[in-house]
Amino acid sequence: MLISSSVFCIGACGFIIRKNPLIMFMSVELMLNSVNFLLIAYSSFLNSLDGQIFALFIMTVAAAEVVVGLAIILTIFRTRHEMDVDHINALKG
Amino acid sequence: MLSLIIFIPLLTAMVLIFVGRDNTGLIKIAGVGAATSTLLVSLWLLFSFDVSNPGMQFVQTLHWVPALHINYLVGIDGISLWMVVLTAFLGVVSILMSLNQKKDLRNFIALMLALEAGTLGVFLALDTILFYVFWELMLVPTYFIIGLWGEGRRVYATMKFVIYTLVGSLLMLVAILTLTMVHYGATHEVTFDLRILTHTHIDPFMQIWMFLFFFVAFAIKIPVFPLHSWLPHAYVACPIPALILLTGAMSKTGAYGFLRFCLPLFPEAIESMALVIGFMAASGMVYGAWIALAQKDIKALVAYSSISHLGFIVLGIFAQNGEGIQGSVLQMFNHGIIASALFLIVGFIESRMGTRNLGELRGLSKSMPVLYGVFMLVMLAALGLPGLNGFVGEFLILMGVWTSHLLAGLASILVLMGGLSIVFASIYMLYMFQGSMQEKPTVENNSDISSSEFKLLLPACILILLIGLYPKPIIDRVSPSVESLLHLEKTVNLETGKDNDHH
Amino acid sequence: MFASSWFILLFPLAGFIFLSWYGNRISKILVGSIGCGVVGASFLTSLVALSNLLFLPAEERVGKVQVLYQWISSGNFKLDLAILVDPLSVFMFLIVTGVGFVIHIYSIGYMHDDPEYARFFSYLNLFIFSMLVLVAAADFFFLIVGWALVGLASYLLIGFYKEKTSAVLAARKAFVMNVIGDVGMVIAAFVIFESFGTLNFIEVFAAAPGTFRINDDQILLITLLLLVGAFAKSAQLPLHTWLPDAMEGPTPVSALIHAATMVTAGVYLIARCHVLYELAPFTMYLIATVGVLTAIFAGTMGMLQYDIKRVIAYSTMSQLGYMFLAMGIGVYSLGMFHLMTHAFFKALLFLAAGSVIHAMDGEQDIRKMGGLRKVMPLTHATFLIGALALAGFPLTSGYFSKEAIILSSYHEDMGNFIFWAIALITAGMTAFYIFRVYFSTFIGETRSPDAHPHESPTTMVLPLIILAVFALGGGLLSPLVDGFLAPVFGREAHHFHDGFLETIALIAGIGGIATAALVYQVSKDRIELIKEAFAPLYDLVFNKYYIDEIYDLLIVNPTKAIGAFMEEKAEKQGIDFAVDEVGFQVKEVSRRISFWQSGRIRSYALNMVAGMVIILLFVVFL
Repeated sequence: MLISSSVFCIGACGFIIRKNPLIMFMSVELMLNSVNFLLIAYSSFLNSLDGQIFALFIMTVAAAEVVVGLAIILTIFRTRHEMDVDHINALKG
Repeated sequence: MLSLIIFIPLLTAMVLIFVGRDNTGLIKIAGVGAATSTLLVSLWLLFSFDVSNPGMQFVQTLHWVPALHINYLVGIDGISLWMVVLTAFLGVVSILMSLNQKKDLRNFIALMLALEAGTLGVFLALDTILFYVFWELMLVPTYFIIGLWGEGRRVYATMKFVIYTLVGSLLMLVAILTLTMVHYGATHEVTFDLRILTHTHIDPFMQIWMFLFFFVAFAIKIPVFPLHSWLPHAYVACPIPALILLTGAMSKTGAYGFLRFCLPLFPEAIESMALVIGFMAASGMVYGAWIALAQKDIKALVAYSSISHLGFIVLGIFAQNGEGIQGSVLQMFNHGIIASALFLIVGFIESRMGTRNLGELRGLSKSMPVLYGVFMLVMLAALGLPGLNGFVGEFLILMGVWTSHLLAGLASILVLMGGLSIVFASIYMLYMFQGSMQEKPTVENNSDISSSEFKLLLPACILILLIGLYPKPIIDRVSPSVESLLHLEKTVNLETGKDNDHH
Repeated sequence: MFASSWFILLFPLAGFIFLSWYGNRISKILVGSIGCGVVGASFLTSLVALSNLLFLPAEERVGKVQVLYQWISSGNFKLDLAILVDPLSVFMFLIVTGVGFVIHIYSIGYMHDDPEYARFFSYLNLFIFSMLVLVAAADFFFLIVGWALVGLASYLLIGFYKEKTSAVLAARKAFVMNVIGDVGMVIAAFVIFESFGTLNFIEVFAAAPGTFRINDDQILLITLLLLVGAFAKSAQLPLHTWLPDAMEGPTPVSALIHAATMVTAGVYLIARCHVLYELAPFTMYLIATVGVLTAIFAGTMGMLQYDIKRVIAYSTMSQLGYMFLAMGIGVYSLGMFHLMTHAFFKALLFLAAGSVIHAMDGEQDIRKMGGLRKVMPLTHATFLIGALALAGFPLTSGYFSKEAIILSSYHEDMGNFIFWAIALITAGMTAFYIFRVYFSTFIGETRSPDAHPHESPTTMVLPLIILAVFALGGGLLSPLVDGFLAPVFGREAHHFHDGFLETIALIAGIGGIATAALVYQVSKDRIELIKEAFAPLYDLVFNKYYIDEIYDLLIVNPTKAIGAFMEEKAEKQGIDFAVDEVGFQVKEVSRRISFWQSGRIRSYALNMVAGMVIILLFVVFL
């Protein structure tokens, strides 16, 4: 559990600190994986399959999300040539 | 049968959207047809009404949201009867008046019909959630009508009106839900049926804040001083046809709400708050009248006079006795007729002279003798000339206040304030009437009101005279319901959680 | 038996409705015939009622109520639409319809050239109808209805020349003062209902003695509130300012409304409610005091006015003061008798004045008249008779009625020396001012060489003659009236005979006439000198003691100012502003919060994490 939470924190910090969207994405993946890790660990500890099934779920969703997210980043890059997340603030309000 | 009244205008409104914009002939026929058939149904109700029955008549029940026990429940009694007839009548008048609307006739008529349907629904609903739905339903068309077809600062006016009213309505929603929860706490039965809820005994402390929430909603709607400041803007901005419905029917929904909800549900709360509210109402009477004295725009003048007259109505309700409440209900009907007639006249004058400013209007009686006569009659009714309908209502209300147990402490002051506002009414009404109709005219060749315009005013004139001569039929139909309202018994015992009186 | 009495009211009502609708489309002759005809029919029907009443023995003549239908039944408040036929109401019927009829005939001639002839007659009919409702009402509610309708009719008639600004304003003033009176009476009705549970005259008067002690607070309240209405309608102090201005209306209007009928409504009210007033001696005393003060007050003003109609108007105010004096000291039938004689001679004076004005092409200033005796013999004769009656010259009807009141003011239990003294002085003044007008108008040489006065047409002169006959012979009716009204008042008025006081009164009257004659002889320059010597006093009285100005200053202008103030401050800057502020503040708050919505993903993420941590802490530690 310790490993899991520390990896999660690293991922979170990475998400907050880095400006490059690609790196932010990697951090998100890190966080997801940490959660997976925790789930599987506990599933074996508790001898229940629920954790593993849920981990599979997460992986599927993560994959889908990566696809969409990368597509969005690519589109933004093509139109604005920005790689700094702070400058993409059109939703400011 | 009863639901026809609501759904004829509502469905017509919805259907009209599919009609082509330019098909004015069809639009006009549809509008007038819907309004007239609604009026006919309401008249049928009037004649089939059982005068001796104090309870709800023509009740219709349909399941709506069974899971939450919300039903489509409508009914009519002595109090709502005249309101329904009034609204239906004003619906016809206002639709006829809107037929020369040049801009986007189809949408205008549709919105007016929707407004009429909403108002009728408020008067008929017996399920609290249904009441709330119709209450809000009145707002939407009004927002558009004032915002799109209005004049002057119309957007400001309509925003103010809608948001102000909404604040009150939301508080009312909270209270409505609490009401059902209290009832549930006592009987473990979820219901929104008002007839059952009014028999629930509610703890006096709870009563006070629930009453206050309802009060705020209704007080904003009528309006009661000092929550009235949306009115001058909204009334002045609103086009005359919609204004007729607004002041004639919609303002009465608040007063009706007092009678239908507050009086039966929260008697102890009312006992403690009556003096304050009575004083507020009386202040509104004087305040509205006093400001009307200073107005030069005749539309604004009539608007402020409405605040004054509506104050009378509220005052009568909180006198909590037969004369006071019956006077109020009568006056609700009277004011609907008189105020709408006044605004019609204002509209006629404006369409001829192009101005509403008393400084520029003079001597119109020379070219418009028929309007002169009608204006005089309506004006006299508005200032409460004894012998006409306005006086009957005012007399009953003030007498109710004078003999009221609830308002005993302030009775003489309240009645004096009423007297003062009557004196003021004579001043500002004469000021408006004489100022526009008498003295040497500035423009000579105006055309008098046409026969179709006269026909719009004729029913009002007849009613003004008739009710002054013979108010008994109206009062007779209102009386039983009011008496049963005043003597309502709280039969749901909070302790045992059982309904002692099975219906 | 008295069901026919409904027609007394219905005839003029029909006249009003018909003439206002069709009046413009039918010939003037027809309009005049209908207008006069309905009033004449009313008069005849009133005679029928009179004879029916006389058939009955005296005790049975009271309390005959004719009910048409139940008008309302709300809570405890029940009311019928009904009329009361008793000696008092029949007495008023006869006066109203009789004098009204005569005035209608006069109007045919006087208003002949007016384009709005039909409208005038329709309003006159409306007035007669309203006045009849007032005196026929069987309960306080319909009394108030009649009261207000009379106010309406007088508004319409005073403001008849509606293109004239002064007339329009005078009409408004009269109406608003009337409404003030109405409100007083309405509140009185509430108190009555609260005390007696009914508004019906017969029931209230029967129950009153048993319910209240003398000078009980409630009864004082009722009588005082009713008095507000009475004083407003009868132009007593302080609600009198509308009467002089009301002269803006055509002269027949002044004759009808301000001589014979409307202004007497207040006197009628007290007579009708005498049962209540007898329980409130304090109020009675107040009535007598105000009456006598108004009498002398108006007398002083009448002495200085130049407009012939205004002088007569002030004399009306003054004579009404006498009537109230009579009511205040309890001699009701004497007050009513004076009401009747006054109706005769005052209407006569107004109509004669109208005849003069008509002849002088609208001139109303007596300084510009003179010598009309030669040109208008009939008008002159009738005016003289009227003046003599007003001055209380022996053998005229005015003598019998006024004398009786003056004597009673001394001898009656409730009278006193001061009342008598003031009444006496006023009598002297009355004689003076009316004869001042007489001399100035009819005697000597004409001061308007350009005018071509001529005697008025028959339709105008005939009424003058009729009224003159009654003004002279009315005195004979005195014992009859007393006897007739006795059942209503419970007793006959005591007629005092005090030779000494009667002589004094006679001297006062003749002295007044003589002074007027003397003054007339005195040259203009001398008069100017006297005026300058007394300048401040003269100005004060001539300008009606500046009461109008005081009212303007204390009441009218502040009211308008407060109205404007309220609109500016209370509405725009106060309540409305507050509401708008609320909206504005909400917008401000949301504007500030919106900074949080920076559009930057990373700060969102930071917030999310922070929030999560806090929640975790909560969960773990709580």
